[in-house]
Amino acid sequence: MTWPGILGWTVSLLAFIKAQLVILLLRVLSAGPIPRHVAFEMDGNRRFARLTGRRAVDGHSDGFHTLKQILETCMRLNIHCVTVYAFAIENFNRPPDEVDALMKLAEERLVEIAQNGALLSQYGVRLNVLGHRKLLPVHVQVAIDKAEGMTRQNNRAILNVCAPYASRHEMTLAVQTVVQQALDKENFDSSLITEQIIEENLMTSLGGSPPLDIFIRTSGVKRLSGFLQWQCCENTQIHMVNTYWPDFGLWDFVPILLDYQRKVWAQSSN
Amino acid sequence: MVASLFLWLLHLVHASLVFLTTKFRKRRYLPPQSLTAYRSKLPKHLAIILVSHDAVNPKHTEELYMECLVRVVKWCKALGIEQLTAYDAEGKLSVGMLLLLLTSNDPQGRLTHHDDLPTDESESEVEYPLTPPLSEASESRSHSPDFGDFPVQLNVTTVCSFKKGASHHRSREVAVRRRRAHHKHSHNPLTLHIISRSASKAAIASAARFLLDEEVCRRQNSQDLDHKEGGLPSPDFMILHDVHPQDPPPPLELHGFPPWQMALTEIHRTIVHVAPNNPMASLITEEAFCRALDDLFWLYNVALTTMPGTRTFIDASPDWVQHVL
Repeated sequence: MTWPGILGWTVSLLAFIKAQLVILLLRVLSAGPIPRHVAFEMDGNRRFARLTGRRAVDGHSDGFHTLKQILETCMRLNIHCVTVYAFAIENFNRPPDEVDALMKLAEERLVEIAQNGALLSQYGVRLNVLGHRKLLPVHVQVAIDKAEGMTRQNNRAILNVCAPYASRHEMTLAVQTVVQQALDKENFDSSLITEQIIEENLMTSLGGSPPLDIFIRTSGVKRLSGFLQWQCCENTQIHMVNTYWPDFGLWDFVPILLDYQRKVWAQSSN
Repeated sequence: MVASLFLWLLHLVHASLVFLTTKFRKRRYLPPQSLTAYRSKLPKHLAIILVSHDAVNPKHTEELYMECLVRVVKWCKALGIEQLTAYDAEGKLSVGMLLLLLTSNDPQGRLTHHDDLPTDESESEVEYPLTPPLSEASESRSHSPDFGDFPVQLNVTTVCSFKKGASHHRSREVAVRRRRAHHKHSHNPLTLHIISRSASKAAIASAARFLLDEEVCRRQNSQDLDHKEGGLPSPDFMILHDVHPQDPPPPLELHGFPPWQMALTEIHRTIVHVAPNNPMASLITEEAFCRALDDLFWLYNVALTTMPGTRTFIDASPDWVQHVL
């Protein structure tokens, strides 16, 4: 056997061992409380790309790769629902070439992960794209409809992709929906409109998402920036980590999960 | 069973690492700039969330909240911060505020007379208008002057301070906010909003009920919720302080702070550098407050340097950051 062959064999072996250790770690974590719903604000793709002298678009591609890895981790942990912030309504103000590249990425990758044999199908994940869809180009809307249709029968888990999304828009829409429903049913008793009713009409709830347990924002920014404001303002652990999204991995995620488990155990003992 | 054992070991390792990291950070602790140090950026509207994990002694918690609020009001007035929102989920502040204002022999109350405040008040006495009674659940009264008879339960108690004999709407000068040395003897007007969980999701539900009632009365139901924001504008910066801190602190939670107003609010949590069982750990210190402001300044500058050309910061205006992701 030649030296390159031995080296290649060794690298493969190490990769295999690493993969098995990760699986073992996830099984150990699964022995404790697991969050029902985790949200990721995937920030820092462009800064990550600039660090390596590449274009912002390349950072978004790296970010998608990380999304797949984290999503698989969540599925192995039996986290029922994952919500990600892919594109804000305000992001349409970004440079046109970047917006076009993001739209192209969304169009191609959503269908890619939704088709048979791919990630969503493998773990029985239903895809919901939440947001003001009419703002998206028609070809992207078509791709979204296709991807959602491919996963509609899946019922083991949920992936919410928020694009283009703004929390105030979601809350406003929920209020308008509730009011319109009351008018349609000719039920004019406004005392029946409660915060619970409004919560049930948020986009996340309409897609079957449970209450949000963990909110994670990467890249060191300490704002919500219009993401899941209603869902995370109460009983949600919020983590603002310094890591850029493409670099986010188990090293960042495991401590967050351990913090959640301690909270659940503390609540149980109280 | 085996997995549970390994999980327990994992938690032990993690807790040990966190303990060591915290100790290491405390050793490398650098004090923040003083309150009166020059800061090029200050929030126009600051929010403080006061939380407690001690349900055993609510009266003591209320006293701690009030003392923290008095301190923060003093510092905000010294810095010229125009608006302060104080939030606690249970509404202890609202009760405490009312009792303070109603029972104090001095109508200005503790909020203007504090040990560290200057004695020369001839130029800067403040008056507080009569505080309206706390709104009960059955009442529908916003305390914002912008709303008049708007029957939406926003549950915001607003107290405005203004100079004696001066106009209620005092015009701000940019130079005042950018002066190099903050004079400790300054008495800048401050608008104080006291809110609890009832001003949070419940207020949005109240707005929805109003929309239905209005539609039933054959008015437009397509009004944007922004018109219903009422007396509580969005804070630029939020400081969360636990009056019963834990070591290490648990992950950040927002304890039901109004969701509508939080879109672009920078969030900071006070860091305690004394033992949690030390009585000094309960009250927010000037040092923790200054550290929060330094953190805000750092966040602003990091944002400017890391994403040139793609962020929109309004630098000259007191509304200093918008629309960034």
